[in-house]
Amino acid sequence: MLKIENLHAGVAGKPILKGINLTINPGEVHAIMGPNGSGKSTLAKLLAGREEIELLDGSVTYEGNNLLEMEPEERACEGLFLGFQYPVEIPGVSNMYLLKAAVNAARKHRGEGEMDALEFLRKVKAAAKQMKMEEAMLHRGVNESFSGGEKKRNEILQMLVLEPKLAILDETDSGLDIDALKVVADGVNSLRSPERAIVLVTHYQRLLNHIVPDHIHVLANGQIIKSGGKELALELEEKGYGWLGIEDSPAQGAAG
Amino acid sequence: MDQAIIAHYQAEFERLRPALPGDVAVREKALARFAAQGFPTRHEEAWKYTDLRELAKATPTVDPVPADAGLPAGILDWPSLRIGLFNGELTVDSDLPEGLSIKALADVQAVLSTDETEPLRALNAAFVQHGVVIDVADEAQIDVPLHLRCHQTGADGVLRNVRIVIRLGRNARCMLLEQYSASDDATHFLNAITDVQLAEGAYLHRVLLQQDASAAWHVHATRLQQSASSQSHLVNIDLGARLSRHDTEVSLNEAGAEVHLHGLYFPDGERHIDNHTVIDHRAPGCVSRETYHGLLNDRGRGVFNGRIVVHRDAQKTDSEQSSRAILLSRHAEVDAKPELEIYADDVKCAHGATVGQLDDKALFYLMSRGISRDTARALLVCSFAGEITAAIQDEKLRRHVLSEIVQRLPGGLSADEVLA
Repeated sequence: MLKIENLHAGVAGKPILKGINLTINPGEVHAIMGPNGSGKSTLAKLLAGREEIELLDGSVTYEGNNLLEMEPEERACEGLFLGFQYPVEIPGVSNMYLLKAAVNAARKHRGEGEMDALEFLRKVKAAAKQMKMEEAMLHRGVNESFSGGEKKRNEILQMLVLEPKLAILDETDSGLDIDALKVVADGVNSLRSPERAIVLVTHYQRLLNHIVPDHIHVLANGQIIKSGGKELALELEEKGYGWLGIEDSPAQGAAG
Repeated sequence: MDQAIIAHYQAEFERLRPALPGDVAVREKALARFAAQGFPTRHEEAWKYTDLRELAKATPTVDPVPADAGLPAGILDWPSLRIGLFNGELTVDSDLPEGLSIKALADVQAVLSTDETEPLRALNAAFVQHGVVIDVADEAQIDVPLHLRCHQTGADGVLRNVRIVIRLGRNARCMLLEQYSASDDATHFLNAITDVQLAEGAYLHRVLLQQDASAAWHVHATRLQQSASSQSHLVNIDLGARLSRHDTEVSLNEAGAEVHLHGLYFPDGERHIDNHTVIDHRAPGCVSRETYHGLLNDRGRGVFNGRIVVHRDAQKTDSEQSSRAILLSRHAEVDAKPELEIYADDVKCAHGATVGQLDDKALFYLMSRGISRDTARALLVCSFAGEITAAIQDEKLRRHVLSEIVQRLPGGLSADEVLA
């Protein structure tokens, strides 16, 4: 589904990703772990099409196409979804509208007509219920005055409605209390299927107690320095990143 | 100013003299004031960014007899009481509610021919015949919104002077939409003055919607005089004209008066839109809130000058002003400036001004959901403009105004669907 080869990328001339190789197949759940500043978020944003991240070398193939040549909206319409670390507030523009516009953009891209209004409503209401969000929130502005946890739940709600082929969830667990973490994890797990792949980008192991990945990769200084199965998370939990000879700086680097 | 131009206005005055209502001596004085100063030039601080040279060379016919008149079409299915000023000619819906009086300007001697010092207002005072006087009686609550539509037609480049007077009695309450529109081919110079008086405890919600023709010159002064504990909720939406200059001057004359002023200006194409506001805190314990948003596209040019004056006796003044402008094109330009003059010591005054572009993080967020760049931009504009239109208290009107804004952008949005 996704093949990343020798990927080098940076921001404002500064290299951040320094040769990433990664293959993701349908049905798989991958976790990309690493300390702050390792390049995790840069990778997630690059895959979704954030312009400020410059490709320096390498390639990314998504379903046989050159992903990096596609516009962000085209990637979304082709089934790629990024759950944001910091979802953006857009006051005045309703959540409902965004969901509808997103669903219908993808349908139009596939040459289909707009989704039936009742079917759409049923789907959104079911997703809201699953994410324990009140329906009234759907009619408020996009993430407008939402708490940190509500924003993250709203990301997963969008994902449930859009049913992407490849979901990349950037630090979806950060800022969540244990109850919200459970709701978010259940939401993600409900989308696991043989046709779909999920990439969890996270600093901490705790999300992986709830969403058990098939593969774990440790990213440090722009490279994957170790890959393994789910047991790798436990080792990291026990020994910290220092065990792999890398420093976990507490600074919230812009590179993330 | 060019003597030939002054002679033109003097000749127009002689032509009109027999028909001018009110005290002609006061009008002569106003004309002399105008003749002595001429059109404002960019040498004057208040006109630094707004160039009237081309207008000052014109020799327009002044206030010709209206060619046609009629009641304005309503807005959608918005129930309102319609007041038409078509090419100056007044037409009013029948059956006014109790406590509301609407009269032609020429029939109210007391408000005709005021003493004006500023030249364009003096020009208005010298010539003005057309307009309307709206009176709301003490304690009257007018439940139906008033829709005053001042509409011009014709490519004959006339000068049209208009005067609107709104007087609310003690504890009176009313909502007014003041709309300026024109046929697409219109080339007039509209010179309008709106005078508002709010008695003690009065409440006015006034929405101004300026959609003048793309070849029209549009100068408008709005002046409010507020008594104790009166409240004005003003929303100024400036979208049209080739050049528009709108002065909004609010005088808080007695304790506890409040003004809430929201403004949005959106010059696109080659348009120039200048807003100068003055809020005068003349009495203790008054409140002012002012928020102006600018959207500038293409080669549009915007000016915002927001002056707040707190006089020495205006202790416990509570004043906030914020101005934000977003440049949608690299060729657009804006000059936005707050001006605070504070002579009292126990006051709260906050202000902030920013100029920037659409937030690229927000653009990326929307596009990452499959939304095209044009639509994403239109959505962010809608959000930014929506912060101003949110101050329009009537929901149907609010949606109408926002859709008028959004339809000027690519993206094919319908504001009705988008709104939270």
